[in-house]
Amino acid sequence: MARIAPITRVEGHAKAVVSVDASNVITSAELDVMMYRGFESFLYNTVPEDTVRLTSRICGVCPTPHSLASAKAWESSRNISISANAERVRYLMECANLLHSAILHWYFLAGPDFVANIQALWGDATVARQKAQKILALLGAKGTHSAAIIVGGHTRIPSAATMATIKTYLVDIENFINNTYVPLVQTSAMPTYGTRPARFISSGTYFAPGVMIDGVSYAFDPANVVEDTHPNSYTKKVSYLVNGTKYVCEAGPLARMIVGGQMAANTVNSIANRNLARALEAQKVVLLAKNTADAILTYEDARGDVKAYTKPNAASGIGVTEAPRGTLIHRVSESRGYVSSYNLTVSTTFNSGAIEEALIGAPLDGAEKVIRSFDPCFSCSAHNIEILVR
Amino acid sequence: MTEKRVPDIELDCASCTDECFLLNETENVLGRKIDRRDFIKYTAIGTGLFFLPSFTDSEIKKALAVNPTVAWVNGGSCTGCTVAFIDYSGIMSVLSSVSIVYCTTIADVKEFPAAVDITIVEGASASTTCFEPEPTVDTNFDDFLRMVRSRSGKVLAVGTCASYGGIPHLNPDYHPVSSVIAVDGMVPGCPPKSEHIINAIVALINGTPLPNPNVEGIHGLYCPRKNQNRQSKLGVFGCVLPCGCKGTGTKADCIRFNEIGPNRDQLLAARNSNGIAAEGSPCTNMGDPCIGCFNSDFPKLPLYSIK
Repeated sequence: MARIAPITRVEGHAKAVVSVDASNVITSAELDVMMYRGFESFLYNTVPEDTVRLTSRICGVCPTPHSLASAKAWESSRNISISANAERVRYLMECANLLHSAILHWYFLAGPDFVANIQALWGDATVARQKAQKILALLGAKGTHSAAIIVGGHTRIPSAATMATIKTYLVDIENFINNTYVPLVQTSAMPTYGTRPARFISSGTYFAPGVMIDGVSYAFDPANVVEDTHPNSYTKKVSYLVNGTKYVCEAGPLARMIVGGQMAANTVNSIANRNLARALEAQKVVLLAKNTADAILTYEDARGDVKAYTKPNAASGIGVTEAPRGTLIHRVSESRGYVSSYNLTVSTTFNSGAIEEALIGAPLDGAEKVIRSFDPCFSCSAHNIEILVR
Repeated sequence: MTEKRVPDIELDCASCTDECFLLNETENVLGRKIDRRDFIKYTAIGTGLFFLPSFTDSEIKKALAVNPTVAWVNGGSCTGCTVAFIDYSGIMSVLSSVSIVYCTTIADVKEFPAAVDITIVEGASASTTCFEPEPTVDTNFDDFLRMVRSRSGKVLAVGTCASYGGIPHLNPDYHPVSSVIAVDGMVPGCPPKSEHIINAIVALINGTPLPNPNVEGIHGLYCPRKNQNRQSKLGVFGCVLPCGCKGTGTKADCIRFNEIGPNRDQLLAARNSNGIAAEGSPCTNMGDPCIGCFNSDFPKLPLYSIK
């Protein structure tokens, strides 16, 4: 038995308890996520519109997808279809958040394991990452916990001058990714352990959605995403149900790239390929962001694009999006204008089971490298099973 | 560096003839009629009290030249304050003089050092949930904080969660850091502005007293949508007060400091003839109501009131 605590260079608090054999190879692993805050419990009886702001505080690295998933969930519960232009602004924000997160992960969290003296490279990386945050600040007032995303649309559509600034930032980020980030990841020697059964899930957003289980593709249906308690941990164990069997599926950049057809279906899910997929995905997402930025219709009069809606007496909805770390699902119900249930299925609850599987067979001193390759967000994943309050 | 700084604020109240919501509010609070000159006086006193000190780049460099050791501790938090810290434009020069000796998010150190100059606490504290700060220590965050306090020269609570409890405090298990240990300063905000964190660190090193942020705020004076028509629905240009905006009572200078987007001067200078400022902070400028994330009562629910 060995304990790895606290797991460092990850987001949030967690420890791993592993068993090792005589040659220090991990034979079983248990991931324990700590510091449970209980968002699902205290979101009960709040005003639905408020949850868009409150849920972003689940995670300071990927707040935008939480806001978006929450807004989408209430839009589905109230049958609102937001305008195409507001959709584009949201998409650009989501891309910017992914770019900031990918650069942060490699240069500050995972990279120091593989690149000697990576601190010397932080300067350029920080400039590029801050530009992604600045895009979020220009579209939503703040880099972290952006405002402006609301149920029904976006409160202010950018002006032409702001979009011009954003486009120059995107070109700078693209140059950094293509000339510095991706070559550095490609030339870094990374271990090939950290593998697990080839099961991946992606809800789309950037590339085609789908679920791939042992080489067979299925359509992505959030109704098949099931949750179980995780023994001795505050996180949940999420699996995908196919023909009555539960499969733990990995979410995140590698899953999106494989399911979306951007990387070969037989790509080995090792530490090396997970980190490489994150870099290659950023390379593609910056292009998507540039195309979206070109398509946004600018308004000069500080107007927003918000659809009017009526509040139903009782309804439920679902909001699905891809956070940088993987698939994110918010399932909501409202009754008489208040939240009657709120259930969060976050990326790292998909990956908590996958991390435990991937740790098996890895050397003990490489355990944290395996965990970091998933870019887990433990403050997101500290949840409990939904308790129905009647 | 103990010089008291009173920020230079530009008030156009003297020449403004619009109906002033803030003036009316102040009268309501004071219970008597005041004129504009008094109003300007009160607000100027207010700003002197609550603004964090701001330092120039060379002052920051000079203070950090002592190479302080800094530990960063996360409680019930989202890591947003850490991201705000590294969003500071001069972060590379800060990191070159400061040694980060403990921070589970960006440093690979598993044990809290025996002595640290400054410890920054992010996130609210709790005695109920388990927390494993060191390989063999299974404790709760309250006890960990007491240990941190005994090993730290100064302790700075960063973010609204650490300062006042914030959103985790909606779960009654969580409470502000100052209810467990003595803190030397608080930097509220969700997340705080990057400069707030840096300036507070520099102030602690220099011995500049940190102001009590818990005094009346005047966010509304800086709101780029001040004096615009009030709108009861979002997405229309105007003052969003009827939608639940908490800007008028928010104790923050979130617009004056802004590294990540345009700052107050840039925004106000760029206002066009219709009074429309360029995009950027604060949230009200983007047409979204202020949710009061710098306040001690944050989150004051409901955040939105949409008919």
